[in-house]
Amino acid sequence: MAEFISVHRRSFLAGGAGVLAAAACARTGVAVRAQEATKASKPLPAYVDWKNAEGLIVHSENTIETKREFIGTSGVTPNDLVYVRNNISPPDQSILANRDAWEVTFEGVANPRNVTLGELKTMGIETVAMVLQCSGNGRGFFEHKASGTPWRTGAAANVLWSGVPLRTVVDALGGASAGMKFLTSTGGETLPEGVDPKTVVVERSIPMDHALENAILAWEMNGEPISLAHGGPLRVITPGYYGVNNVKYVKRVALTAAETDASIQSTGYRIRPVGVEGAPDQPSMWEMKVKSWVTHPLADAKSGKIQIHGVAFGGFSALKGVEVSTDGGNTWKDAQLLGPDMGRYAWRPFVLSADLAPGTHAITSRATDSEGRVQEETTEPNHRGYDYSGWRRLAVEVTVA
Amino acid sequence: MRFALGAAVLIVVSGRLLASDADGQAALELGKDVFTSLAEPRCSVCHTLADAGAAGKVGPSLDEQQPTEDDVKLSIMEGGGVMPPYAGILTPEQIDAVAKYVSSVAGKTQ
Repeated sequence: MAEFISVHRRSFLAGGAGVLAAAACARTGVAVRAQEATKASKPLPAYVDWKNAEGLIVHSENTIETKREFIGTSGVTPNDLVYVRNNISPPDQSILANRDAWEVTFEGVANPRNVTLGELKTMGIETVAMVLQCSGNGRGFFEHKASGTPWRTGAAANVLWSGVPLRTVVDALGGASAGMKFLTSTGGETLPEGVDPKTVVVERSIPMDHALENAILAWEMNGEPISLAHGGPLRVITPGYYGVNNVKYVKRVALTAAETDASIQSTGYRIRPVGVEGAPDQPSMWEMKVKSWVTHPLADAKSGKIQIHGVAFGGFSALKGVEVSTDGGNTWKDAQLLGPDMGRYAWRPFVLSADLAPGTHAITSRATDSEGRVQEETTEPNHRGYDYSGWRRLAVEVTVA
Repeated sequence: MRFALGAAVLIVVSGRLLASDADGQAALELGKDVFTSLAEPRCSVCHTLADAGAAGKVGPSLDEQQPTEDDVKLSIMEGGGVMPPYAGILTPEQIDAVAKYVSSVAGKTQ
């Protein structure tokens, strides 16, 4: 099941180190399979030893990617295949020993106080299906060498989260204080001594109106208590927003007048031209874009009838539809959406039944959201290599025998 | 005459080699200093690197990661996640030195 893309054309190569490796492979006739196999040989770190090692690429202790072909057609990504990205190493497992005793500080409301997870569970429950996607998903497709993990498609998952809506808690605490504009959430990771906490703390702000409408404080993920790797015992879930905003081990939930001045917000996770430094006036990694990619076939196929499938989502808006091309984007056909519609923030598997003649086929997909925005053909390079969404490089070249 | 010229070339070449070995050693020592004390925040606060006696748990263990010299340089110049960029904080010489140091010792000490 290793990814096996027969690479012939420059336009289908991944960026960064992947370009050289893949180009070398193409020349020598050894395909991408070998490269993926090497990456997969790194063992799972102890805190995620329960995960499906076969389906994951361990880039580092805190960056673990789902292999493209392991995303199936049922819609929900199983917990043991969901990618992992921790900005700071997770706290000790002991924080999960007594989940209900976990305390969260609420600020920026009429009656600020600490609330335990046990009490939050008595206030209300909603479940939301949501694409969780790292800002850097697709970094490996950019041609410029951006710092960070060269994720391809596998820093994304579709997950069901259950917890109490933020607005329910805010109401219970007397409502938002006057003048508040942002939800600012702080992670419970242990910070090192001797460093200004603002430089390393995981603290993110998102617009308050969207948060009050959509955010939940979740303790359950796909039917299980949230694991340490994914932010248990309690995680802020911000549907439609990139992964970094979904703060893990959340210890402080504040409605604030301004965005936090923590580095991860003020200069980090900002979209900027290559070579430009991060600054608070640049667009923050908040709302996700419309995007899709094929997950099967990725490599060789037999001639005749074949089911081409993948996943598509609208990002911040609902998904409207998705088309598939088997000729590198010259012609497109509407794909059929699979399974139940899990709402505006979920992804939807899709399928197109096709007859492929012997030869090579550049297969790709192109999603459209409810606002009529069409997935881009290429993504303009940005300094940190955030969210490559272009259908041209997300294409796979399949050899049909 | 020809022999003398050859010998002179040899001396110059070997002299250069010796000098570059010494430069390399100096760079490694500078790199270790940058890692443990000169960079602010210090690399050792967040990263594990046995050779430097560092056991930081905030960022990835460099002994596990075993990054190349270019990987280290890129991370230092640009930062990543919560890691701040050090371009402008460290000199180019210090950045080269710490990149050389980390890539040559990571994962080598048990």
